[in-house]
Amino acid sequence: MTLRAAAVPAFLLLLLLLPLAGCGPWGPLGVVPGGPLCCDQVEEPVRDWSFSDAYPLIAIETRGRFFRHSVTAVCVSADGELYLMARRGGEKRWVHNLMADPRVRVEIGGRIYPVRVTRLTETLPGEPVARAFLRKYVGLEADEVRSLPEVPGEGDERIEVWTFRALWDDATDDGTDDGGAS
Amino acid sequence: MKRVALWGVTLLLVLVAGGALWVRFLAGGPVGPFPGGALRGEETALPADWSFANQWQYVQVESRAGRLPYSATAWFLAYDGRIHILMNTFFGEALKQRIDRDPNVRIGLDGKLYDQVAVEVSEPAVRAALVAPLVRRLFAIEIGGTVRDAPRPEGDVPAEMWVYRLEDPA
Repeated sequence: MTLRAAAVPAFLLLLLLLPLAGCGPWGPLGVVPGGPLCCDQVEEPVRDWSFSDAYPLIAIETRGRFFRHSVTAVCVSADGELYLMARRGGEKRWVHNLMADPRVRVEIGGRIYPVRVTRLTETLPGEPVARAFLRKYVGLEADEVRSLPEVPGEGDERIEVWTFRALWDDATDDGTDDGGAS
Repeated sequence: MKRVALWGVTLLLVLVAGGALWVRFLAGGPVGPFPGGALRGEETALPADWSFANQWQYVQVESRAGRLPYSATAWFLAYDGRIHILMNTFFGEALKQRIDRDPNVRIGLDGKLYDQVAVEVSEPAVRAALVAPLVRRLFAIEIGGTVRDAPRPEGDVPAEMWVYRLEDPA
């Protein structure tokens, strides 16, 4: 078999395997994961993420060992900050990726924002985030609202929810540092 | 090269279409978040109390409101002895539309099938009592006190939650 002839099945196989591995040359399609996001990347730093409340679902692109991996995710803004949620975070590939490398890109309303994420365990600002989630995704508000600890206690049947805070990735700000304006 | 790319794209489309057809008609129910067709399983006598069902996170719900059976995975909570299914704007609207046309549903839990009738829960007191355990179980959020609809500013996400109680058929 010549090199040229071998290239055809190899290319077809690659085309087949990439989407199956959730790293196709496009973003996520609904619940199907994808690869690198492809829209315009925003260059101006974003400090107030409340505009994200107009979008029920966003796409998040993480850096895997070999490929970019993107999925659809839920997010809320509370006090202007952006929070991402992952139900059963320990089982999700994108969560494993961002735990290994917190540099991710999120697509909100057709534009891409580079951010760095931090997993919140002890320092979760429970009430504002929980209130924002309840309002955005359930359409309700209540007198008392609080987030429960990430890991359920023994005998507790609730689902484990991991929360991440996303901050603008200053490394992309042409080398300038946030808050460094003199 | 153009021809190879064309073949590649065709192959992908065939695979995607084949997968979708398999889930819709042959899988015996929904596969993860993908809706399926008629549920497969063992038809089972209806229990008097459904509290045992809370050991599972999801229930499969089949509706025959359309020309073809349609089934989807739904969040649920066994509360006050009955199954209550929860659907919201993003993850359950297609199922809700079918249930509104025909409330007779078949549910699947652990490979067993049960025939039920869905009744929308609209009483604020009942909804409030249900919502607290539901959001605790599904979203790890604890709520207390009075529960009410959140104000929706114009242009905001039109989130809505629908709760249906499943009752035994007459």
